[in-house]
Amino acid sequence: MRIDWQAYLDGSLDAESKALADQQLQSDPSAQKELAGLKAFVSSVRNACLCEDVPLERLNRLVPEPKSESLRSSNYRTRWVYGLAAAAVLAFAFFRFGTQGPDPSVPDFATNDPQVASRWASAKLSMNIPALDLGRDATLFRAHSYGERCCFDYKVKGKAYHVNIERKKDQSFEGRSIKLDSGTTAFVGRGVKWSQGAYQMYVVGPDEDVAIDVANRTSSQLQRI
Amino acid sequence: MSDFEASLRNELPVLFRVAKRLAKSVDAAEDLVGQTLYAAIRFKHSFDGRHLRSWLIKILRNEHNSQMRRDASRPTVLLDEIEGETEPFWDEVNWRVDAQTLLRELDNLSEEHRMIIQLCDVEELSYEQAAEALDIPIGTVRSRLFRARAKLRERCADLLVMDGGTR
Repeated sequence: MRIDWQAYLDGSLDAESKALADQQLQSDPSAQKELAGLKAFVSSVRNACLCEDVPLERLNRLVPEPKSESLRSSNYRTRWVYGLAAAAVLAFAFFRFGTQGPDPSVPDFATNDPQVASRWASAKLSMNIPALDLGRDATLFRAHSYGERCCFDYKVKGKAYHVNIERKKDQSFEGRSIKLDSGTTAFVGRGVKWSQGAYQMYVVGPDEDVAIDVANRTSSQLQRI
Repeated sequence: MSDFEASLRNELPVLFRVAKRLAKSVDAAEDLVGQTLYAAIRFKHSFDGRHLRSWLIKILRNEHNSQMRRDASRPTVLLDEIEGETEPFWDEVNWRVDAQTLLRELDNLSEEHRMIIQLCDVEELSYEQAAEALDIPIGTVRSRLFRARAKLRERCADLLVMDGGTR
């Protein structure tokens, strides 16, 4: 009977087959050689894969910051105001855009058109979100949302950069302060964060300098509205 | 930093390696990890608290598949159903194949085979965890893993024969 040495190595042989395999291993040099060969093979594959470089620093920059809870804790009256404002913007969005663009209940979709993303995000966040055209070398490829944030993903220099937008909150930012081209102060730490007009912005991506560049372009676009 | 965020950071190397095995390039793998992290935060409430690694890999696969669907539709071949049984002889090959060659041949395998080797042999997920991550039955994990290893061994053995056994 031929033993399935892979099943033996993975511990998935039934008791009878395992006993037979153990017996064969004690007396049969070719069985020992085959099992050793299999172990060496699996170990070679594992070692080869684990030796590959992992760009941990860049990956760590990709971890999004959890959503702030500050809006949720707002009082009853404030919630009413937000609710009325949301209804007004939704009514405006419906009047202005009709049924164009994805339904706001869609959590994410692929698009290269900042106008489409803008319409979807405006309906989603119940506020006017401008179309963020960041230039030819920054291509929008996806829009998605989580919690009270919408996020536009742009491909810049072959990598994805996430431009998050949400309603402005009373929140201070941590990190190194810089002046964006629009004159707005932004904070660089885990990504680039700033408040501008009615918006709170957060740009995150694998390279800090590029993230700052994307933040600059975004801020300039916001300044135009 | 929240516990969930800290747990996500712990999984970054595994996620990257699995993403690279799927996407076959560093840039695409980084993008895929980025999308996965966003989706993980978004769907955090649906995590049952059991196997974070399996859950994240499942999200990563879904993100990858969505990306593939967006880029172009691609024929899917159910390898487990069409491939014949192979009976590998593990002692045939004296493992002198260098890491670069192994990685190259691994990347030449089908996506299903690359993934199962990455999850079970490299990241050492249990059959149960791999089944959860890949959304397949445990029995399929086992048979797919065995076939994938045999396929990789066969490719490496062919190389040694082609090189006249000089490697």
